[in-house]
Amino acid sequence: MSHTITPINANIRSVAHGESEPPNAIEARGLGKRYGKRWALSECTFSMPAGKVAALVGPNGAGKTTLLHLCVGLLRPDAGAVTVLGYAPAAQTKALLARVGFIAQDHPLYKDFTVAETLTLGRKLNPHWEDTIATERLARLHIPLDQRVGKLSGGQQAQVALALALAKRPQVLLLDEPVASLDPLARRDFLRTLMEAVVEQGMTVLLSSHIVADLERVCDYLIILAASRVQLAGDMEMLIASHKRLVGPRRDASSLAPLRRTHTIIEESHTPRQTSLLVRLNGPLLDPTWEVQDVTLEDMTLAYLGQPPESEAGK
Amino acid sequence: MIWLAWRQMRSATFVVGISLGLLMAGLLVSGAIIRSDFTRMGIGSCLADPTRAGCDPTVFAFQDRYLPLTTFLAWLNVFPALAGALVGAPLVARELEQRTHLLVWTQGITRTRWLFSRLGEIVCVSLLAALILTAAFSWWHGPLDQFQSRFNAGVFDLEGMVPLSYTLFAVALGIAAGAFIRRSVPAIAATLAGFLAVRLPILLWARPYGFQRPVVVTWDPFYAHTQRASNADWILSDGQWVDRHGQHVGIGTVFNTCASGPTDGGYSFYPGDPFTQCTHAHGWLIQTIYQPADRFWVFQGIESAIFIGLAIALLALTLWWVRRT
Repeated sequence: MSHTITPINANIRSVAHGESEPPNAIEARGLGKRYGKRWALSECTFSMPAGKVAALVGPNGAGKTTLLHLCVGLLRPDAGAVTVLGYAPAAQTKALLARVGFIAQDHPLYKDFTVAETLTLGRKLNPHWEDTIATERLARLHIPLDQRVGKLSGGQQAQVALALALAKRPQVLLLDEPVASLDPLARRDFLRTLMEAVVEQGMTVLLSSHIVADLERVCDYLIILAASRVQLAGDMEMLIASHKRLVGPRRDASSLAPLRRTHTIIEESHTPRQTSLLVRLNGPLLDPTWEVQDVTLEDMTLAYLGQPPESEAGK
Repeated sequence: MIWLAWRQMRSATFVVGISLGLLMAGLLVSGAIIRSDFTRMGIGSCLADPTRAGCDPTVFAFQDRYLPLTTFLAWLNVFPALAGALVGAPLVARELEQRTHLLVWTQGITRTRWLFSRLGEIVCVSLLAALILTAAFSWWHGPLDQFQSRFNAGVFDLEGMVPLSYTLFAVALGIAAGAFIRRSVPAIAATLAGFLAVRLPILLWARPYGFQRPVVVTWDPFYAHTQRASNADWILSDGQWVDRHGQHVGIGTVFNTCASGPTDGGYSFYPGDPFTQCTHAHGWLIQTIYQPADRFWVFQGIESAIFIGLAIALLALTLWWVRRT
């Protein structure tokens, strides 16, 4: 079985745009990257439809940064392939970089540049640059253009990095742990700015995070990466709806067998009297003795991160 | 991209410009003084006609006053190494350390273009500074060229094309070290070490013996109190005694055989005197090994070609490495 679910309505937004975007903004097939003998990412396969705002979730060291760097041509794959907007990032870097925005972890900027100079950098280096996108956004946030970037707060620096990435008018925006270093207020402001921009500019977003909070509100697509592999990828709502917590009287392994035939048990815990399962339902649940509870994104993510992959995800 | 390269080099260029300006002012003032003394003391006419009365003390006074300055100015030799270490090494390394490569390599231009622009600007500014320094030194040193060989280490290394080739090599080495080592400080150390590792063997071995076989002459002190080489030649060895077959004769043998009687710590050493009569009778000659003065530009060309070749190889390697990752 495959964990990849491609929703039927994946292309609606790109069609409405009237642009000839490929159906999938990002496609990875057996993608792998090795550092020495250690595979930082292996057999990574998923398709991300255009127009989605996707969360790439996983613990530190799961390969999230490696995956994003592969998507933007900073790294070359050692196995498999990835395409972004139909371009191979490492080979067609120039065409790709004109259309893809990237904000690296901790949003690196030249600290001795002023904000205005940072925007000049963007204007000089990007073919589709739109100055007003950045300047209006920064004015709204009361970030002075003549200030040195190094003198700004972390949250403001993140906003400058975001303005720089948005003003190049990317079709795909990749963000690596954009809010990890921010305090809760700055985190909320950053995500709000990002969401406004997504609505205004209609782009595909893939943002990585090891913090699950906030993402459920912001993202409509989910990729879970753990132990250098894709554990789960699909439409956020559908995934959350298809996962349930089942609580019932204590069962042993053999009595769970009928359940396993149809459904996938992600996580199980047993007390002497009770059994609790986090299950991915692949059809109707026939056994009425289970108490069925909804799960949150966090429950579901933690279950996947806690378990080794039950099936060979991504093969 | 030119804007960015310039913006990132701005402060370094200011520092280099100001130091260069101060240095130039010093060279200009002292150079003018040397030139005016050269004229006032009539050194030019003395050199044209060495037999003129009263010339020797004047020329010696002039030499004593100004030749030591050449040794002092040999410090200009550190310029290429400094350019390589302080401007070349941080070019890639600093971006990697501050992680700004993730910013600039994901804008709408390729890494190759980025590297070419930054590298081009740094190379141009360094070469321009080296050119100005070399021109100033050559002008400054002009009057003093007539007293010593242009092959002297403090002169050859600072005149002609070689300073530019050293600078290009050092900057290329710095950029390559920064790209491979990925950290500024170790890259600076590696640049200095690498620069010396190439520069010293060439200075100490290849230039005197490797580029062209030095001229070897022997002369008999019985006939003439002179060496065959002139002041302008680069004398590598002088005073080795040899026999008729060119075999070395130890200086102890020569003096034990020919220096009769008490020595008073010195020997007369004039054509036809008893000492030279004795050496002549034994067939002993003095050997001088030197590089003729007219090889100056050939050697400049060979040495520049070596450093420029190495620099191009290093830059190509860096380009390949930066694109590869």
